[in-house]
Amino acid sequence: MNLSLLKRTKREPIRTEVVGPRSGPLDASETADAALTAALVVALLAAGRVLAAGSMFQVIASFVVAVLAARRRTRAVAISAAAAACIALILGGLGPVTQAALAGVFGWCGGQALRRGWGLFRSIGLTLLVGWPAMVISVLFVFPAVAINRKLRILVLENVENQADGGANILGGIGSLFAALGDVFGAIGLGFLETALDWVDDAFGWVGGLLPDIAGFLIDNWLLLIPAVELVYAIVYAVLIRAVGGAILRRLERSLMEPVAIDLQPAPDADPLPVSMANVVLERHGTPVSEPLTLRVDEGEHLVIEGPNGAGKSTLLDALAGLDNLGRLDRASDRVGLGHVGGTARVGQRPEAQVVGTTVEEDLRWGLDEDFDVRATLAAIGLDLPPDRPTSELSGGELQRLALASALRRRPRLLLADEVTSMLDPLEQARIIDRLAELDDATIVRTTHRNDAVAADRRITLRRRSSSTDTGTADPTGARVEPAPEEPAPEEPAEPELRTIRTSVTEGRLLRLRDVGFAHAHGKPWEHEVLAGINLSIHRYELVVIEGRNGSGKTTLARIVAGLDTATAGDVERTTGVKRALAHQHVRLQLLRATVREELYSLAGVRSDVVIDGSTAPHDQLAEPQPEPQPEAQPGAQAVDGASAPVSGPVADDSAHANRAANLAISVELFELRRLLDRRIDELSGGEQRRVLLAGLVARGVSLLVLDEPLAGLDAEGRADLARTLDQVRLAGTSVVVVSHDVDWAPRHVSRHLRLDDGKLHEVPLPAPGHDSFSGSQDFPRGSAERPGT
Amino acid sequence: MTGSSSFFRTIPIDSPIHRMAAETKVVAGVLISIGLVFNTEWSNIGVAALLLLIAFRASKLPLSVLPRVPLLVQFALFGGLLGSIFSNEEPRLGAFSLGGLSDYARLIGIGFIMILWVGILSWTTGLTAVGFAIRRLIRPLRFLGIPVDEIGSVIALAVRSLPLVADEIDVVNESVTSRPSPADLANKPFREAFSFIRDTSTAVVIGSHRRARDLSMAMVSRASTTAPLPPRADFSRLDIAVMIGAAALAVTAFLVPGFPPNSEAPLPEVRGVVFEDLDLDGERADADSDDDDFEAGVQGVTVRLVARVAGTADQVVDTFETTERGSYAFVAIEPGTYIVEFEAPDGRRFTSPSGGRTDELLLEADEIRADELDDVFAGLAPAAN
Repeated sequence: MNLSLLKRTKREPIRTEVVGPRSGPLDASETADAALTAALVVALLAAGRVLAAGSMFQVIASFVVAVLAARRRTRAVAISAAAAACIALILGGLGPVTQAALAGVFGWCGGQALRRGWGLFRSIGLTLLVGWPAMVISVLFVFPAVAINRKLRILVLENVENQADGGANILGGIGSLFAALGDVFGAIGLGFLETALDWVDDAFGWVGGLLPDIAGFLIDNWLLLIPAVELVYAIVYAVLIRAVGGAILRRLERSLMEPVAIDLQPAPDADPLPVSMANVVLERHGTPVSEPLTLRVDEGEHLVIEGPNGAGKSTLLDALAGLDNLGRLDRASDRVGLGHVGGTARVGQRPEAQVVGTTVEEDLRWGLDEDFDVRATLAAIGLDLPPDRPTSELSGGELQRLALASALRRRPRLLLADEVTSMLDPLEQARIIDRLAELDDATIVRTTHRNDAVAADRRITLRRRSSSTDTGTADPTGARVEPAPEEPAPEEPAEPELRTIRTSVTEGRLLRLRDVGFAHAHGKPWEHEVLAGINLSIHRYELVVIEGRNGSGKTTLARIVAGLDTATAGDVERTTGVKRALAHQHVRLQLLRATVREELYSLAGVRSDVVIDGSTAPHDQLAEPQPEPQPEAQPGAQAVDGASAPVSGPVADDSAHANRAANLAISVELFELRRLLDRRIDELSGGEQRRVLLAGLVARGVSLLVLDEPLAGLDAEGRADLARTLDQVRLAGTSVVVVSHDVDWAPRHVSRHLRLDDGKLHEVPLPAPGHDSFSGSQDFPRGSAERPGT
Repeated sequence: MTGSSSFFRTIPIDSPIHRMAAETKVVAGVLISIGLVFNTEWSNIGVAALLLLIAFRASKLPLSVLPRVPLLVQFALFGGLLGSIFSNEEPRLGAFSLGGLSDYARLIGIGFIMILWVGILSWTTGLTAVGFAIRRLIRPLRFLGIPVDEIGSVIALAVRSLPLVADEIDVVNESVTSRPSPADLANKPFREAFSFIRDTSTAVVIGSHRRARDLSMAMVSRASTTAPLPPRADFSRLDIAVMIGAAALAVTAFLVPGFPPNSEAPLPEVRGVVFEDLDLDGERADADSDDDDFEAGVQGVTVRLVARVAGTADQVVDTFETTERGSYAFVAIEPGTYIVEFEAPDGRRFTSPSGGRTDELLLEADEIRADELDDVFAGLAPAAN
């Protein structure tokens, strides 16, 4: 272990507080934390069995538990560990159970130490005092077979003895071979060789003789082995959790990931309506997020609230649901009765975030004591699903309708629907909107950023707080276009920039898919075909949009184009040197560091001592254009012109690094990130996070970028912002493929628009003239002179 | 998709095993494993392997579901095979040890059978069904005061979150492994590994933190943190038959010894030599038989093995006349306390042990190696005067 690391973490001890109730059953947030921790532990143990870096994932499982133990009650940790152990036992047998117990016990000890800001020695002390005995007992409990049962133990120990004897015999045999060879040498007069080989023989004999002795010790002291092994584990885990767990907690703190206490609202006498507010500025986490609002919701109304992302729509709904801004609203009672029959029901934006049950029926019955017909309830919302269908197999639209069915089953007086259609394709959107419109007996408050307010009694439009736009502070609730004062003038020619950041590929075509198909479980009897006969070429500078309904296989296509999945049929021809990358729908998962600056260095693979925001503007470099960097294609290219200068690895690395560093400096300007460099990733809006990711990938030399569902949940401004970011990507010479369920999105400069239907690709005619060239490679640089998005 | 989630690999076909209740598969697997633990003989391993084969055939699973044994494990298995073949375990065939081979095959066989039972369970049972089964199985623990409702709800929510979490781990893993190795950490492997683990863990934890927040809001929206009781298990006659059969097997394995019997644990032995103590020092000189001072063995001396049990008179268990070289041996002695008595020929006395009787020897049996006392020597000398 590197001691300097431990010292570094020692300097800034981190303390955490336990959040939530002191005693009694777990509240909602504790239950959720315990469940996610258990799921993570099981998934990490499973990943450890499949992936190469397996044991690392098993260590991470203990960090995850430590984070839980540092922030939640021991009861939550114990219940989480019990759940993880149960699942691991059934899915993996005794081995994974022991690993789950290891993660649970040592994670708890490490978490206690972290919470109190203890030093290394006290951490190890606690682990030895509590974790070690607990682990020894639980291992002895898990392996009663070995510990108590005689026959299996004898078999195990006999095998130990056999192995030792066999090893000794084999080593002795090898030694006597050397001795025999020595005799041969001795016979031909090479006496010194004979002596040497006799020594070798003796050495083998000595080592071989040790083996039975060691085995004998193990056999005689087998009961001591488990404590001894666990002692080593205890110390290693205590040290690792202290170092890495502390770093994670600190990062969580910097990421504003405070634990919160959320609990259920009481049931009786729910009386949510009428509710009104007069000139109320809504707050979230203590910061105002809305303009002063005056509003009244009466029984039986259908109310639609419109407005851009970040205008406080969700906060308003949370306030109506009694979750936030308590006391700022005027209502007859504070008994909103959220989730209770006859009270308030709430449906949110993301389909997968609202489901709690493992099957359709379990989800529908969750929290409802009354008995009812599951199929009829589903049919009422237009869902025809078997009640035992796992929720993990449902599409986004089905999940959303399931959440709506669960809300309606509660016969709510007040139904709150927050952007319920924004992650769905148009067909699903229409279904849900129509269903809501039919609800005559409930009061509905629905938010939307689209112009889809059909069948509403009233519409209210929220505006973003003007002050927040002025200061340019980040708005964590949504994507937003930044005013960009440093933006180059629109007239500035884009051509030189295109010459500066260059990827390694000069040829027109980057990638060609010929008759590509993909099937899950390929070659198995239960093979499930997703794509077939896909023909697609991506050229330089292109922006290709591929649309498809939820479940049409577009994510699979995106992964194939990005090189993450291998096609099961057809050919994927990649031009040499083309680097590909995929930007996931949830960009946040791909960003690993705390600040924008650190993230950019890491993404691009640039040393952190390189200046990327200094006065050396990229325009200085324009005067002397960099040599065309082709490090990936031809690592030793410079060797040609200087026979006296042998090119070694580091030199090639240095030139590749210099290129990436230069590219990164340019990317920072191009993607307008200079102002954001010292921000934390979690302070950024979704659009800003995406810009960071794309800037880093472009600087790394990625020449083909695939974006999976970048539009989900974006309002008009967010879309314009995305279109601009994509233009920036292409200015850097990188081609873009956008995969989306949205059909009404047509950014400028789209080279091609394709539709994925039933596993096949169809060309969609482009609306605007001037896009006659499907290759697009010559088209874009000219077009870019008119800067988009301004 | 490609990484961790492929572990949850239910094979979507229909078969009697697929239709069986998850509890049946869990309980049958556990019972048969317990049987294997109680009875490690070939007969029982054979029966368990046969049942496994039948279950595999009935499940209609293709052979391709069997996981490939990792190369490292293959090496280890092969090394173990070599070690066993060249061990000293009886019976032997020339230079090879059949006994060692059999011991090894039994141990590895038990391991494979247990792993494959878990495999059949996970290949034929959906994750949700497994979740329900676990929750039903732990319900009786509520009588011990264990909060099974809370644990059950957490299990349900964890099972619900597993596919999402596994996908997230895949995304993070892809993101981490596709990054260039940090250039400024190139020559600092410790710091590089540290930052790698820290970044991966943090990304995973932050992702799960968001999911947890979503989940708690979803529960608040349902006004309940308690999962509905899992649906009742649907036991068919086949389920009941399989459970009874597995239970019967476990009981049989516990009560009936297997075949062939395990090589019996070795019993203690005592050996030694009666010798001519020329120098009267009580110890046999360490010398070649050519030397003048070689203390030769004495033939025809009677040696008695006497069992000593507290409260009863000493009892001679066995006698032995020393061989031509003066040696004697008592083998396969029941564990207990003994003394060895040497009968001095006429006109002679023992220099050691004094009076021709040893001290009490405690002979113990052990599972792997028993006591072997092979240095109980007795020195003879002409009687004094």
